[in-house]
Amino acid sequence: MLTSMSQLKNGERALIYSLENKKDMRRRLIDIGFGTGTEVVCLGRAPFSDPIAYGIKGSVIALRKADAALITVDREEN
Amino acid sequence: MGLTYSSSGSGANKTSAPEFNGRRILFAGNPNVGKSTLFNSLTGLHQHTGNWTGKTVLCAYGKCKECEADTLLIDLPGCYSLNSRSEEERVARDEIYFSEYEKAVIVCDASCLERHLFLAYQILEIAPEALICVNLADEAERKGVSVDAPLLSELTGVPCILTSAKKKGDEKKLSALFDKDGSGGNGINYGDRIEGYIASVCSLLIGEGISRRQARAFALRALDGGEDFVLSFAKRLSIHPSLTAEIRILADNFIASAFGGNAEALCDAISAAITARAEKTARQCTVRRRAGGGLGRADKLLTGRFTAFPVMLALLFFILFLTVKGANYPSDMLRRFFDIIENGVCGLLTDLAVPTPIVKLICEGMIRITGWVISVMLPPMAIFFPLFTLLEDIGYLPRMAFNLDCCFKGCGACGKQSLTMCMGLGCNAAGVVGCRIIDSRRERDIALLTNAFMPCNGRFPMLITVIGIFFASSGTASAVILLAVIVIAVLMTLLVSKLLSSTLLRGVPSSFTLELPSFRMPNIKQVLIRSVIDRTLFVLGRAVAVALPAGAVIWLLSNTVIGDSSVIGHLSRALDPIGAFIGLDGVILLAFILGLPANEIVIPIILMCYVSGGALSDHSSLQELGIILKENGWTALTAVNFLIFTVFHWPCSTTVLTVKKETGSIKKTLAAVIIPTLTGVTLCLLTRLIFSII
Repeated sequence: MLTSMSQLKNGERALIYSLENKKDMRRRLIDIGFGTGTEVVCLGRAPFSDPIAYGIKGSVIALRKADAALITVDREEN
Repeated sequence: MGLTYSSSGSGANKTSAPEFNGRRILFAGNPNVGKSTLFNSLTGLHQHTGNWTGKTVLCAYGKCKECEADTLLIDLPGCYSLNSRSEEERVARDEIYFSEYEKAVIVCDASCLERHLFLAYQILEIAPEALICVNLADEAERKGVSVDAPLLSELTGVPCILTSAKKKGDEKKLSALFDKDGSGGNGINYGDRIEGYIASVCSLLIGEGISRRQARAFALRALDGGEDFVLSFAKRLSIHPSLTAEIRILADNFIASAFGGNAEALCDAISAAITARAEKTARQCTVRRRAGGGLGRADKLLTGRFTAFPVMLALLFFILFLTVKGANYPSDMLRRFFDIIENGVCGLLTDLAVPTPIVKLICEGMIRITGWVISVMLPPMAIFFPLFTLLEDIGYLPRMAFNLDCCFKGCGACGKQSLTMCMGLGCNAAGVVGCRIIDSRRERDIALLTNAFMPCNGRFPMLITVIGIFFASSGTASAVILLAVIVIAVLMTLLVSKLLSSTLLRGVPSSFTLELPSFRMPNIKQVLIRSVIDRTLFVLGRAVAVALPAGAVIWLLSNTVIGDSSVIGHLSRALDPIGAFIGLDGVILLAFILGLPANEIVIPIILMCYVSGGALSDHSSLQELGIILKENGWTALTAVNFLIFTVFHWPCSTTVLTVKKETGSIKKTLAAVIIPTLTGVTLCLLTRLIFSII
């Protein structure tokens, strides 16, 4: 099911479907591993629920909610 | 980039490469892969390392001490790719594309090889020779990940070696590879369409003294590199401007025909090809015995909704408490030690029949001030820095940035500003340089202009001294007040950031990505050696360099009598009205002005001015110091405002120069001086008002 990455709950996994971020940020996200088709897992949120930590290819990367909201993912159903 | 002898103070301004005739080897890799640690063990330099992203924002240079041949190692700033979205990526890219070097050592993290191979393949595309160093192999083993180095070597076409940054002997194995004849790496197949275009560009270039690798790289960068970069690259390869223009037209036509003019789609295709290749390589040569990644229990505590902030304050309090408590005894020892030296030198000079004024100048001016500076400044720093380095090495700082980002975002700034503030606690000049880790120009300027709000190593002990005299009898109470002062400094940083981002530096918060590295056991011995020796050398060096001449100048000023009083007396009286207006006095203000080169000398100047006879008196204890201050009209208000003014006033001259260099703008440099000063004056007036009411 397609949803925005910021909607993932802690522990949920998804495959990255598309990135709508602005040019520079989009390139950077792809460079650090958020390319389409990559599996991502939501790991947790900061105390004020922003930013959000994601697990990607064995690393933990935190993104702001607003940036994560521009990434569309395909949620894995259990 | 951290706090070392070479990176803080005046060293922060020196960045150029040394002259060198031997071979040159580049160290490249993602941030936080232990690159600097490897570099340090190979060169013996004490480059500061820490478990967070973006420690190295400048290239570091060092001669390889493990190599027989004359070898210069160049440590590039960590970056995720060569697509240059940020300052450090631009530095790394330009170095890899344009500088002369024999080999590139690509350092990767064994536990997330796939991500790191992205950069590796980008570098293999252009480096004449390369080798891949899969670092942190021990850490990966613990996580159940092992890497097959021979297979990786076969797949990439370059020598590969597994290392553990902290294991002895690994650096020797690595340096042995420097001497072996290497090779360039295997290229990436970008698919028929792009490869067809590359072939047509190559046919134009090869044979002009340009290798196939260089020609391919040029063809690709003509597609995605940006105009300035392509022109520099053409110059580097000595490609004739007309040929360059022809290739650029070829590239534009290709983008138009194959991607409908959508350059973004083309970049995606290039990235996707590299990503796919990295993924395939990593899958083939990595064995993952259990699913990795994720936040452990420690992260639940350190970044948890209800625990994050209490834990942060508790950690800071604990560090401050140990610093305040532990510094007393060594301070006393040092003081006694300098008393002995002073008496000894004084006796010796008198015996040698040196004229009395000169003896006094040397003993009561130079030695006494230097001794004071060292004995008060050194012990707190020798305790604070190892503790702080421990936190840094474990990997706590990125968690702090993670916790605090929301506050900074609310103020229109970047969460990474909290990292530059931590560096500012050590040295504001280093903190200002560290602001390069912030990508957005606007947010970087906010961080730059407010960095002086964090009390640095020179001001820290001033706070401890005055708090000890006026407000706290026990170490615990001192630490609590010190913690409060730092919290106020942080709050003011946020407030002023907010003001700046809604006035002078208007804009919306930009995006940011922050890597949270795995926790690492720090190497205690390394931490101690690095922070104590580096710090000790730094403080001593600075103390001698600034305090000795300053001591002489101040002694002269306070002993040269014009009319009815000394020069220093005239000056401080002239400043008295302004000083009194903001709840201080002329002497304090004068001391802060004279303390411009280094805040360490502010308190000694104040004492020298107060003490009749024009020399710093025998100052064996805090109580005695307190008596002198109180006799000269210090009240609780003076002390509070002194604390405020210590935290909020113009930055030291080195920091000002660094701001000038980093921003290249006189206006911003002036702003960096005026903003903290204005903040300080405002707060001082406010407390004066409050004190007059109660």
